[in-house]
Amino acid sequence: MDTLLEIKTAYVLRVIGGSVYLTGAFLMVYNVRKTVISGKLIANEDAEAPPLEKMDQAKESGHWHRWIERRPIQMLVISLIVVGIGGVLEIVPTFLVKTNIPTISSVKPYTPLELHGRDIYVREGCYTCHSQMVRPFRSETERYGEYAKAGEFVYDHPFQWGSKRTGPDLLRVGGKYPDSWHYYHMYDPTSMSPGSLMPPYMHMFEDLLDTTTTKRKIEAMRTMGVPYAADFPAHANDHLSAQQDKIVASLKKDGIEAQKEMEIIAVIAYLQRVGTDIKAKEVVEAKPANP
Amino acid sequence: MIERFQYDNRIVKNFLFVTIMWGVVGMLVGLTAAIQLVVPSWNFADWGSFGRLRPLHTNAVIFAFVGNAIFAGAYYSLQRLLKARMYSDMLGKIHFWGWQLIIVSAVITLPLGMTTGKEYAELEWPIDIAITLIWVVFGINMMGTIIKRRERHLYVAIWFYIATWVTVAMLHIVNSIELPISMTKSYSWYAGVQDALVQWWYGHNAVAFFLTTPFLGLMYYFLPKAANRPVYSYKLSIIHFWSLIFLYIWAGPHHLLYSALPEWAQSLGTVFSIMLIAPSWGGMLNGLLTLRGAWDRVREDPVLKFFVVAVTCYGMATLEGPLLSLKSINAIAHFTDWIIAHVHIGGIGWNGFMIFGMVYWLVPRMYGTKLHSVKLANAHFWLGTLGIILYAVPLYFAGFFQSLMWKQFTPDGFLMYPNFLGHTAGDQDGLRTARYRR
Ligand code: HEM
Ligand code: HEM
Repeated sequence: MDTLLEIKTAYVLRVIGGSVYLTGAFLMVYNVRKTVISGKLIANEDAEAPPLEKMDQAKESGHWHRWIERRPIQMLVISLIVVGIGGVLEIVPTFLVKTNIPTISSVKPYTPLELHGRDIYVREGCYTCHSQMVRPFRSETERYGEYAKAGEFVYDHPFQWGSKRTGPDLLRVGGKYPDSWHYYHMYDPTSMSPGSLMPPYMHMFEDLLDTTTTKRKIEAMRTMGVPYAADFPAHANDHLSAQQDKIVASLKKDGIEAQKEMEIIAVIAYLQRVGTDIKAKEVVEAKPANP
Repeated sequence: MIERFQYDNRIVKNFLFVTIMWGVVGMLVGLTAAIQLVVPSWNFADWGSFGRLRPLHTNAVIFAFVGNAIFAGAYYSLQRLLKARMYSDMLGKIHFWGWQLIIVSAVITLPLGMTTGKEYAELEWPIDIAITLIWVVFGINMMGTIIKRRERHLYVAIWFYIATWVTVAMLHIVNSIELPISMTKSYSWYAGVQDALVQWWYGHNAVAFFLTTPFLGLMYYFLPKAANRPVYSYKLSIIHFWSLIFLYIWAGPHHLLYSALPEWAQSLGTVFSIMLIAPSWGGMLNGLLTLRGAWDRVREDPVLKFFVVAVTCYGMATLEGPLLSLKSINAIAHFTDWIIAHVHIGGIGWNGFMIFGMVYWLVPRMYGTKLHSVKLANAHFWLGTLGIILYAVPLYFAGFFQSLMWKQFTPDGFLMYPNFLGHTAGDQDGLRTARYRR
């Protein structure tokens, strides 16, 4: 197809452009080196000037702006105020005004296994290629599914909306494919998507999930207001283990023998969960009673 | 009465040389990432896969290449503009070594996957704290020098340094509030929409107050020096300084247009971004017009050539930026390679070329000699310019067509290219299996 050509060509030209640009930089390195050898560093350069006279009120003339140019501390403070205004006026209402982020009752916190999976998603930098933000255009809702709502992300520490789609959006990937698809795809993306540029993630099949941190992770989430029950952190790993078993069983049905401690199991758990809460039966945007 | 004193060039030299070194490293990593997008088998190991190298590239070029250049240029120009040696040699050394240590720890931790997952703020919390401390050291050293100055008036370059310093401190501290669960892992305190807003308030202003305002400061010092002309307009510099720093802060939401961010915030982002064209072009014009009457020198002097292209690229990026903030254009450009082209016009055009010009101007002066070869510097200039063109132009086209294909429907109202790969890899088999799977 034509765009294959266009994008591939552009990417190849970028490699060439980058190399040419860097070649220039190497010339500079050589040139600077030669220059340095031919001279000697003037480590301390002599200079002279009269000392500052006492500020003289009578001399406070000229352009009105001269006033601030003589006062560095005031300059610093006023700059802070000038930049502070925009920040405060934009950020504070988003935190304080409830209607900005209408809650959705079907949106629930991640399970411990999904949380681990999400942390691996962050660790691998999946967000550098995949967005999690379906915009309200028909072309996007057709392709990916329901567009994104503010209330869906309330338990996302950090958010993972992304800024570049080298791969497709993943907000509605949950439930789109069987577990086995993700299993094969993460091991070798081209096996499921011929021509894919995505790197393989073999190490997720060798490395085992570190479950010693589960309790601390869930506790941290609770501290930040994610509504897990008070006694949940202590039992989180039981829940995690049960969910691992479920995924291993589902993979088995498709003829895959997986070990439940593998990191990939957590990743599958997360990928199957992303953006699915909104599909639950009662999608009520519960607006606060007294806005 | 005349006082005698000495300017400290060693600290400038140190910052300048690491600028070059990290620049090469950061761009080699960028090149590796670029190759990975052509030949996926270059994702050689878990630590060397695209998702981990891309943050390393952005952090290296922004904080190591551009960052060290800011310090080099500021330490050189502050001393001359204030007619004073830097406040403390010791603080300068702590600043220098501390910053390099931060960079080294980034080079180690990012490929290991230790990341907060927020663009340009990926470094984990212990490094965030180190950054804060070193930034304070820089601030004390700068303000200390200003206090003991021998020149009453602060030149416009210094206004930009001061504004840069306070704003970056504010942005970094607010955006980095996170809850550690171990030495190498933490969670952002904010969630979802709020996290996105804070992050792009930071992210956009990393562009504004790390890649732009300090470089305008450098431009205001080095460009008139190299051209041997006074700055074109003093009044323009006042107006554009204050309006630039006031408007820039609001613009963050233009990274979140059509997202789940509240409408009013998106609109604010758009409106302020459009207004930004005025002060941005004010700066560009003040730079270019400073060269009036010196254009014959531009043809001969590689330093001025680099500066002219740098300032022109700044003008292009800041014309394009407000356009990209229009919702209708952003709907097309967002998520595509168009943005990547925009970024690199700014990054390799404006920042890169300002730095190269500065290097060619500073090194001979600090070593009391002449540049080894003007010819080679000219060759560098042309290779660099060609590099920018080859990098950016194809990506503009690619980004544009990418988006059109994402949005194309068949006459019966189905997506023309339902398989995402239809437009990147786009082989027929891929398409067929995708249809079959649906
Ligand atoms: C030889 C030079 C360079 C090459 C080959 C290069 C290559 C790349 C590549 C391949 C990406 C990833 C694009 C994607 O995800 O599709 C990237 C991203 C980026 N680069 Fe560079 N780069 C170079 C120089 C620079 C410089 C000098 C700067 C800044 C001063 C810079 C700043 C960035 C930024 C900020 C991003 C992230 C863009 C975004 O998130 O939208 N790069 N670069
Ligand atoms: C008036 C000035 C500018 C405005 C209004 C502006 C606006 C924008 C907009 C609308 C985007 C796209 C966001 C998206 O859809 O994802 C963007 C991205 C970006 N711009 Fe600019 N821009 C300006 C100048 C610059 C300059 C001078 C530079 C570099 C030195 C720069 C670097 C970037 C970077 C790094 C990104 C990518 C962020 C990311 O997605 O990771 N911009 N800018």
